[in-house]
Amino acid sequence: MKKITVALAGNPNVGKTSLFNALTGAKQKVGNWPGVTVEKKVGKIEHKGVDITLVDLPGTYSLSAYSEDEIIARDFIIDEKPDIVVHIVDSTNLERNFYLTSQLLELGCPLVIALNMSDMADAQGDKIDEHMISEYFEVPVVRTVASEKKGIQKLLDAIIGESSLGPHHEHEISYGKKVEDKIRVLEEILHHDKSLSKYPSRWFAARILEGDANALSKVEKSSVWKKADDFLKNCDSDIYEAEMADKRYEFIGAMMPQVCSKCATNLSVSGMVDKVMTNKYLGIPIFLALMWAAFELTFTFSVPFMDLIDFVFVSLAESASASLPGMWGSLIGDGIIGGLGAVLIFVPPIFLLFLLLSLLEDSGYLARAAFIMDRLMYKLGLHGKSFIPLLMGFGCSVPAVMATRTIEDKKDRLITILVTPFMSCGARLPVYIILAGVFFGRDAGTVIFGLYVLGIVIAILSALLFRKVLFKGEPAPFILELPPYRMPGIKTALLHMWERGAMYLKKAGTVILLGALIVWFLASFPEGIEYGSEASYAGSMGKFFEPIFTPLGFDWKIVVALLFGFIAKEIVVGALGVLYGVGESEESLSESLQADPVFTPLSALGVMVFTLVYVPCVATVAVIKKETGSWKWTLFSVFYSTGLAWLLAFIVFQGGKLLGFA
Amino acid sequence: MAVGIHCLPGWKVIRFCIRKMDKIRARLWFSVVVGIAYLFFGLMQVLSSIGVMPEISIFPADLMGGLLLIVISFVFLFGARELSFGEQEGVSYVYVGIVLSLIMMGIYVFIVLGNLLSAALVPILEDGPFEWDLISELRPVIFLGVLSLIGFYSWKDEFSKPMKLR
Repeated sequence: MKKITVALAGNPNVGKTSLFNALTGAKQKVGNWPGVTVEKKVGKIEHKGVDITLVDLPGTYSLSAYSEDEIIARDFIIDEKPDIVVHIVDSTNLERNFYLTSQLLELGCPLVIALNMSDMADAQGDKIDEHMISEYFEVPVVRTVASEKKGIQKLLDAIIGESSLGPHHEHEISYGKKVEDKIRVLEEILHHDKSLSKYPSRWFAARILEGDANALSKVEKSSVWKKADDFLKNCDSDIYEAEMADKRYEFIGAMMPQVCSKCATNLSVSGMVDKVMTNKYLGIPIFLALMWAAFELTFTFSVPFMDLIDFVFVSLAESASASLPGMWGSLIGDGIIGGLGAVLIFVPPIFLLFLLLSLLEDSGYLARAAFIMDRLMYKLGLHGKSFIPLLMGFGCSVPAVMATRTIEDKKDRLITILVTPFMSCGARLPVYIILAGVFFGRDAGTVIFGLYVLGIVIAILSALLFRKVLFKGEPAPFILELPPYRMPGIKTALLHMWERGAMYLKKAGTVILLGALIVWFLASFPEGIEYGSEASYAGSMGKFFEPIFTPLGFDWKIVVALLFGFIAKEIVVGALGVLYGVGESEESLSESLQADPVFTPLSALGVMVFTLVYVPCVATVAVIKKETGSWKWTLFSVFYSTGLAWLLAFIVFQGGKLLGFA
Repeated sequence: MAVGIHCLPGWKVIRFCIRKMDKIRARLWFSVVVGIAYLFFGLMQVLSSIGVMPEISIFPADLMGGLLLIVISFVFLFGARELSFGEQEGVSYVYVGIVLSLIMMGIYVFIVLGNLLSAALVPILEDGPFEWDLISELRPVIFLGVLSLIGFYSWKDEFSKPMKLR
């Protein structure tokens, strides 16, 4: 059977991953913002007897790659030489997308163009002539709507058809005499080293003239480096890069009226919405209003469902403890049902919050949030692009830290990695919900919203501190493409909700259950002691560390729960459920906490603040090590966040007491 | 107003310009009325939440809810300001204000439903009484949303179309 490799390339946020999912039936995460794909993904399909390996590449605006994800995309196209490159073009923004097309053609890639989101282009009144585009570029052009799986079969047919043709010739754009002369000389120099002959000579010479670091590094290792270096000393690469970019846009600009007779000149619906949402005065208040409303809804609407789940688990734990003898009753009632139930009651708010965040993300609003925060963030020493990983941190810190790969500058990236864990991930939500629900009543939603805002403030202030002390300099300039607003599909939003929420459920059945069992064991032994008493192993452990936390108003039970929270934050609530012996009495965890004199609104707020700020979990620490490649920065992150958590909880508790709060 | 400055003589053109002017005037007055209503209720809610005014059911003591109404009011009032200068693009604020206020209305309707469900569960799970009062649940953001609904139904066809700029 014939086998071919097909790369899906294109600008960020043109629907590459959606197309990949439509072609392969996979369920890779898609989002309406640039930079969702940071690593290439591979899928396999068969079409008309051809075995097709599909590679979904991270988005790139050009082949002059700057950020790490762009380099991944470019290296794959150049080094792996896929049989076909499918260039996915955003039909609502042809001119900008064709810039990459022109570069791919210069490279001599066997190309198929997918005009994606063509329905949106039609809706905004654009009249795109795909036959004319095909004639101009001499490649097949297919209209697609990946989200609705339209045009997929035609695209596959075009891929198979194109792959059966012979070698492709390189397209040339004339860069003007001055640049062309330089390219010719460079081509001549490079020609003398055979190791460089695998690259198209004209394309490679042009990249070197542009000062492309990746291309230059290849020449540096070659035998012609000295000659090339001598020649390049007299060339200002910035000027040549700008001149070549101008010529490419000139070429595209000349063809645009031919291929799109009515590309939008009106104020689009997205443009109208952006006029308001990115307004200098209204942008941030609207963002805060939307986020607050999302938290208020999350908390209030999920309460009855949580009450129902709580009722079921308390009844189950009670029956297990009553009907099974001695240790077994305690293990099943307090350990398994108590620990797991304490975590599972938070499924409704977690799923609801993820659903609301998915709706905001899919609508394209989150990209605007990054844009409106950029001015503020730049002043505070953070890169505007950092806001997207920070927002992803609301879901889980692990992919959020990985998403910092889209930040080109190493200092900006390191700062973002260090502050991302301060964004309150979904795993911390159960702690807030139980404590805010018990101690803050009707204001619980506002308290939770306040904690999320506090996380953002701590992240921003820490970034400012790091910029002033550790990583001096200015953040790199920020360019963000704002995707068009789209009506979020409920199916996609539910899928996103499930993807993120399932992680929580999976953890509940594995890490959290194991954590709850360990806590139960520590609370039950040595033999003969009262369950969950100070004489237990858990009590001894908690008592050992308790003096450190006494100034924060925490007792040994809270200390044990927080210590186990280092494995995964969800365990904090599970451990409290076990330590308060939910199965032993008719009381739910909420009632037990309310009855404990150690817990006051002030100490509860202290616990919430500590949970927000201290090191998120083992998985996040591991990914920080992987992304920074440094134990020094990993340990710094752990100690800085834990130290800061202690300090803030101390300020909350002692400061609150001084001000006369209980 | 500056609307109509670019109009040329000729009956058809004048009629078109008058219609255009009416269209913009309608949105201008709508955003003034709705913006002031949201601002008034928002301020009252903030004042009652900080204890300056006694809490009554139409002005609940809800600081964040009050601030939310003020944010919506500013969206409408920004639109009114631009439209009064004859800037056609000011319509964007009116449309976004309508959508934003309807989203908030929808969120609060779900919150009311959540409270209703919670109250309904009390007799079942805790043997307690069913305590729920529709009047106290009807927040200003819900009944003010009716004004936005009128705007939405009047101009809903224009929400999904690009705006032709003159």
